[in-house]
Amino acid sequence: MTNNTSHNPLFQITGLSHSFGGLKAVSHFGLTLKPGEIWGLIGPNGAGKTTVFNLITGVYKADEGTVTLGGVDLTGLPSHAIAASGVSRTFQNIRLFKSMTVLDNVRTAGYCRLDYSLASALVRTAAFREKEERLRQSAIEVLTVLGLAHRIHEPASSMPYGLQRTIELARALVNKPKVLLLDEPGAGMNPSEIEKLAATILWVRDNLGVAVVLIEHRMQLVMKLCEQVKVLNFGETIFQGKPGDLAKDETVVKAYFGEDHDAFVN
Amino acid sequence: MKRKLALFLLFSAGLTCALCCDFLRLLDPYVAQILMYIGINIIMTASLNLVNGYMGEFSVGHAAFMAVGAYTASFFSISVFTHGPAPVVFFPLSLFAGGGAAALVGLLIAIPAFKARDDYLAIITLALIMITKSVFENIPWFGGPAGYSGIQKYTSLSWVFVCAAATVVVVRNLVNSNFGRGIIAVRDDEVVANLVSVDTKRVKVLAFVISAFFAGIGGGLFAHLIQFINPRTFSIIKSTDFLLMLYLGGSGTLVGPILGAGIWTILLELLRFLGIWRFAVAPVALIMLMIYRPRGIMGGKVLN
Repeated sequence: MTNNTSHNPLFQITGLSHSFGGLKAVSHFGLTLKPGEIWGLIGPNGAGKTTVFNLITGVYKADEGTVTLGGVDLTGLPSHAIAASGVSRTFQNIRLFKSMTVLDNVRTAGYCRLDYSLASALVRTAAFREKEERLRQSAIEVLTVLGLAHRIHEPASSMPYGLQRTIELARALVNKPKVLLLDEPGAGMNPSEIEKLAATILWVRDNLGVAVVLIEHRMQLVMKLCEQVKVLNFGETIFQGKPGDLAKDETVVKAYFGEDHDAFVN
Repeated sequence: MKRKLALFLLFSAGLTCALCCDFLRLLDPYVAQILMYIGINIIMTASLNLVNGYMGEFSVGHAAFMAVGAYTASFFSISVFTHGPAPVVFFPLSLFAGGGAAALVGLLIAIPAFKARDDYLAIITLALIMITKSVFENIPWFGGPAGYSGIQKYTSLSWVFVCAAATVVVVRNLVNSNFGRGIIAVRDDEVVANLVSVDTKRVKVLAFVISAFFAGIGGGLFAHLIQFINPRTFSIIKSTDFLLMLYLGGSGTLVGPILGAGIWTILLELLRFLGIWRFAVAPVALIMLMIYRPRGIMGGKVLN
């Protein structure tokens, strides 16, 4: 756990809304994160969870609402600038750079950290080589921590499914983000892989001090990791609180099971 | 370090050979001509590779950049440097001007490339070819449709060698840098590239501008080799030649363009005895190759 006892919010989202045509995909979404917190974002399919991530990272432009990180307004910035300022994410369907090796996938995400000029890259100056070497080292460091040290030169597309998810995580971590957005990291994993994933996410939080927002359908993972959860349904936030209280909340149960059910099974 | 030394020695040896051939006239002029064509084609194909290979776009506008380079460089050596310095001094400046002008056009084409990809970008670059052709046909100063003559033969094996080596080295160093990883990331998944902090607009501009710059240099060398250019020289057919060489050798590889340019140029010369039929035989050879090695001769291999 981080020792940061300050109650200053690290990451703050207020009133985020977006519609596709007439359809309100997300309305008035708000979230306040402190360093090291893990929030879960759950809800039925099509509830707007991934849309929230896309709004935060600038894939879509929000109709209204603001996103700030450490007091800096990120609203309306291009995606690469948002990523550079410390918000990293992974994807629901794995989206690695398929033609690259594992190492290059991670190094590519270090783009914003390298500030050498084009000219120094073209003649390979000493400064260029030193900065490249430093990025290479930190990429290897992240990959080592995640247990991929011996496979860094293999093509990313040839790796097994679970490891591809790990590479995505490494790619999201190489810039030492302050906020990590994980979009269904446990999808397609078996229970023992889920256990390992949970341990990894906790390790990342404890050692790198990042705040995590987790979209997840696997309640096993949500219960284990999240201190707080938010439930979305049709773009509206219908619940916010401790994961243990989910089953007691009537609106949540209705959203998942309809009117007739009175039991929430996880 | 050893590799660096080997590359340097290779470069020096090549340059010495080229200089000897130029000054002592060791080579048959016909052979020298073919070698220079190969060199120019390497420049064109390697620079095209940056956009069509590494960045995965489909640009067919390379002939337009070549035309801009050819006309600008010729203009500079005919009309700007008339009473000035010796050709050895001003010829590289003319080439540079040609490259610079082509790079400016490359910058213009990069802007629609922010929005359009694949087929749409191909059509935009096709339009670029038509526009440049019409522009040069309607500038009387450049001879209009009749062509631009009076260009001196300044292109020599040494110049071609230096420019081709520079192109290959620049492409290699670019690809092995942050910018190059960004360019390849755009090919693999542009949205994700942006989300992992790659400034995709910037790397696109870079790829187009650098690619166009070297195409302009190639155009300048070409003009000062054949000493007469007209707008029809730089039609879509010219672009197709470079596309052929690129996909023959293997796009997205460093050695592919060199192999492709060399093999295609030599093949067309070797088949000369067939007369007009060579234009039927050579494409058939290409079709066979695409069937048996669809990713080009170097396809799938990474050789730095």
